[in-house]
Amino acid sequence: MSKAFAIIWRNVRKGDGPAAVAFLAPSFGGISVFFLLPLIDTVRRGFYDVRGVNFIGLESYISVFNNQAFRLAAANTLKFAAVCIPLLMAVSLGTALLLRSIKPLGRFFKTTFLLPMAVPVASIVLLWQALFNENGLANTVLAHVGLEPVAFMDSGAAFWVLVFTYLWKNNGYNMILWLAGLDGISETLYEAAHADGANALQTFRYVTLPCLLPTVGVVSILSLLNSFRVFREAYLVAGAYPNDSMYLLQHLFNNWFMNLDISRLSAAATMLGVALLLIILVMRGFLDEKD
Amino acid sequence: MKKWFVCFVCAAGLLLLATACDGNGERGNGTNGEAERGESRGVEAGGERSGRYVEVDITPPIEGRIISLVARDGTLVAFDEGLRTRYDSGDKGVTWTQSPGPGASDDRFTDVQSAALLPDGRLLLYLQGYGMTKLSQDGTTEHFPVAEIDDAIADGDSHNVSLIQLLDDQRVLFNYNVDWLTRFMRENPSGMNNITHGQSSGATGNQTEVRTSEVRVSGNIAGGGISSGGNNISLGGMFGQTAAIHDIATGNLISDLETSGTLGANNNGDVFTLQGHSILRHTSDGHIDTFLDGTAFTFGSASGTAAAMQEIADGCIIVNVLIHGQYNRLFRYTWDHDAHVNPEKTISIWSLEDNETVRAAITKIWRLHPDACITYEIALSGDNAVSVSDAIRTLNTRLLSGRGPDILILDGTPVESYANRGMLLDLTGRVDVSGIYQNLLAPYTDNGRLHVIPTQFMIPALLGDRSELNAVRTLAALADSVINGNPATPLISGEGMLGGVPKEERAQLHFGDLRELFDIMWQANAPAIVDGNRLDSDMLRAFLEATKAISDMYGLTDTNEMMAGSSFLSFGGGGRVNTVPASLVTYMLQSTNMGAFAVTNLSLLHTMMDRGDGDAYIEPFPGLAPGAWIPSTLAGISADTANPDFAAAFIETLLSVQVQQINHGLGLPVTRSGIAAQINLINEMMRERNMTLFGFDMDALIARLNTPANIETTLRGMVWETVERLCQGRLDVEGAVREIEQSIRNYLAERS
Repeated sequence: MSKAFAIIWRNVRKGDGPAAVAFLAPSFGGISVFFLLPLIDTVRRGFYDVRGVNFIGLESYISVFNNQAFRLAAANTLKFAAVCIPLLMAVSLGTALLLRSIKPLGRFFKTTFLLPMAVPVASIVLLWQALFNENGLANTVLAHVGLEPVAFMDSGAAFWVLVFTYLWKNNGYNMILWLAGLDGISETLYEAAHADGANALQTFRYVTLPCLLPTVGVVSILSLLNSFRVFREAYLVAGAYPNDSMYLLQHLFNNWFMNLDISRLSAAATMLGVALLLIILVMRGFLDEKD
Repeated sequence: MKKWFVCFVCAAGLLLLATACDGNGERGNGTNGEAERGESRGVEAGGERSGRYVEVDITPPIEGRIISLVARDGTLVAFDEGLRTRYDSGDKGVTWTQSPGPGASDDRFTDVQSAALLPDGRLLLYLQGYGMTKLSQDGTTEHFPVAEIDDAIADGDSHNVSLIQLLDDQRVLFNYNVDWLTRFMRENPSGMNNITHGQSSGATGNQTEVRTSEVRVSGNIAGGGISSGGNNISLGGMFGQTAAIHDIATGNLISDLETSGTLGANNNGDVFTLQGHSILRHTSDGHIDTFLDGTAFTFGSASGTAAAMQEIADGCIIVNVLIHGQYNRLFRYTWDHDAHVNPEKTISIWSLEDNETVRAAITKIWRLHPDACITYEIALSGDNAVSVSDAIRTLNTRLLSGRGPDILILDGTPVESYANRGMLLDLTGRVDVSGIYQNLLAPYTDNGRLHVIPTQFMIPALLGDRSELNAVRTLAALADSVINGNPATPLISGEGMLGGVPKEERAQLHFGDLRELFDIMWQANAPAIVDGNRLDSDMLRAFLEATKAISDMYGLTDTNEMMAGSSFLSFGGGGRVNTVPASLVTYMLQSTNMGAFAVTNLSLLHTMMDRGDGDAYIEPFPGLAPGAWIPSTLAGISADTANPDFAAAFIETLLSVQVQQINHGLGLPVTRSGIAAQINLINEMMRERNMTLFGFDMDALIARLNTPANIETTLRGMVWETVERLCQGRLDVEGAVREIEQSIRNYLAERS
């Protein structure tokens, strides 16, 4: 952001300022109306009562901190992100590497892995129900191999169903990002490693991974953001009050909105936003340092 | 360059400002929200700002049934029952001239349902046993021969004449069928004869010479009304058929109407139908529009039903409205170009579902304030696919943006959230609540403030002999009584149906399905199970054990096709249909000793208590929360309303005796005067029929109520899912308790 402002300021000093601002104005206006102003309003509402009239200070924040539902939802969301993001990054990187190694069929599989992104949420929900219902396909398979049926949606297994969905849906997208990163690595580096006698593992460890570090930053941030989008599927399948293991912050936010608890909702959303910003800044700092 | 940039920024700013203003303007114009929001069906009472139809009661001084006719010259003619008195009005009902009718000294005309005014001033009507008859003002009659009808009378066959209408000076149309009952019982009810009778061409004056042309319209039986206008005739459909417009001369089908009943037609061939609360106009080119939105008018109120309508000169509409199914009133609707709306009397009302009480109040307040503009939005109307959560989410968004409705009818919505978070106006001192039963009002009074007012309520109750009821004072006693009693009584076998079952063989209770049992049990126990934000596991366990015991005893999870769901019977005002729970049906059929139901309708209650084989009495349902009751309708005013005084006036109208006395079947009146008025209406009817009067002390029953049950659908839905699995045997009671504890935990935690 500071770099962007520096560039603008430099252009202003050069006399191109008005034109630059004119070109930036529409998008800045859009961002202001649809993002910045709502963000400011959300932060403000966290300190006011529901009608936004009376200042109530930190009351909502304190209430959110003390709320059992918030604690559970925050813990689940954190757990979900902590499990899913490394898993997704590893799986999608593996898929990308695998696709590069089978070049004749790579293009076909690349498209195949992207298909889940094109599947409408409603269809995914139907698929979930067919698979993980009490009498669904998964339990039929388990019964065939002599195992007890699992109440996927009414037990801790629901969490792993959610993880599976997230991986299935986002693997293709992350794979494309990894492939772009891999394509950016110069072939001369691999040739040099090969000439030095490095094996495949060593090449990956000492050439591929370091060169992919910039991509890691992008992939991890996008994976984190995408992890919040899995709520749609969770909500449509299990409703506003799912099993404890998949009760996420979005469930809580949705229910608080339904209940018109807008002050606490705003406070919690602000806290989540700050937490995400901190995580992203730490990641950026870490990756910049490595870079 | 700098000037150019400044100009650009100013232009962009002005554009944004204009867009914002335009958006605000659209939202603030007081019209219905359909186009704006897409999920709410809005109906605006009072019409558009540039003019609207004005309703005027033009009923002549007749009490009871009215036969209303329009002469060819536009004179309105009305007869009382039996055609004893005739009233004429040449000024669209402003003044009436009274004269003795043809039935003044003749009792033969008491059953006349339809008649036409012939150009010579005589009436053409059908007389039972005489056939079609021309009737003079002095009572002299002249037979009007119609062979099929005359033959049917001679042979003693059943027949029916459903319409007699003058088409022009030379033609009169009437609709009849012969042996209707026989045809009705057959699978194919076609064969309706529509015959136009007219003079031979060139003849004028009297109508003694008759040429008969017969138009057969197959496949239609005019059960849903019949009307004609221009060269067209519309026949109302029946048994799933839609109405259709036919050419009178040929009988050819012109177009189908997407409705089953017709109300009238004009000379342009437009057909008017009654759809819900509105009169729609169907033009012959297939166009349909809402001609009169009944929300603001008597024919759209809960007590009124449009029986017939006719367009007269200058576009005036005359509608004959049947009130309470007992008497008629005539209303004239005139388009008033100069009608204006008072901005201080502009309010919008929101409810989750269509509410007859609200409609009745709108009709009443609009009559008192013709310059009012009232918009009624029904979130879950039949023609959209909005879920409850979608509707509430949208409502919340509007409330938070300060553009919410002025009046909230909180039927199934999170009432406490709205009240506790300051979204509703304190009604203390604004609305006169002195007429409300104070024990019903007390739970909603918080530190002297009153944010919502119940306007209708239900009582979960048990009906039966005093001795039976005395033995089941607690939930456990009720469950024991069921378990130790007889199994479910077979209803459709041997003498079980209608004939009753010997008392010693009767089951204690009966339910159509598990849902019926759950609903009544939840209503009576919910306040004890979930108290504030706390779940009482012991109470929950007791509730689940009793529910499962009763369900198992009566096999409620088995499919019971004969009594699944509920039966439908008609009770109460306006001939409206109310749902009667299966538990009551079996009690009425003397197949069970007790009936469990939520009392919403005093007429129904009276009928049930008058079963006639014992000392019928009613007690609050013996749940874990003694004195539980259900606020079926709660009303509040948005804190952001621009017109709090008029909104308060509307709430007072909701509580007025004129509105509360109407039996909507949705709930009981919350006011003493409303209860008393409903009982008076019932007793008037009972006296007319020499039947037992309503003698039960409702005040005493209501005085025992103290705890409103949670009406929020979310919590009930979560508990229901587990109860269903419990009763199906997929969970044991402890498992069900754990499951509900788990599923409710987050619900309660969110609210803490």
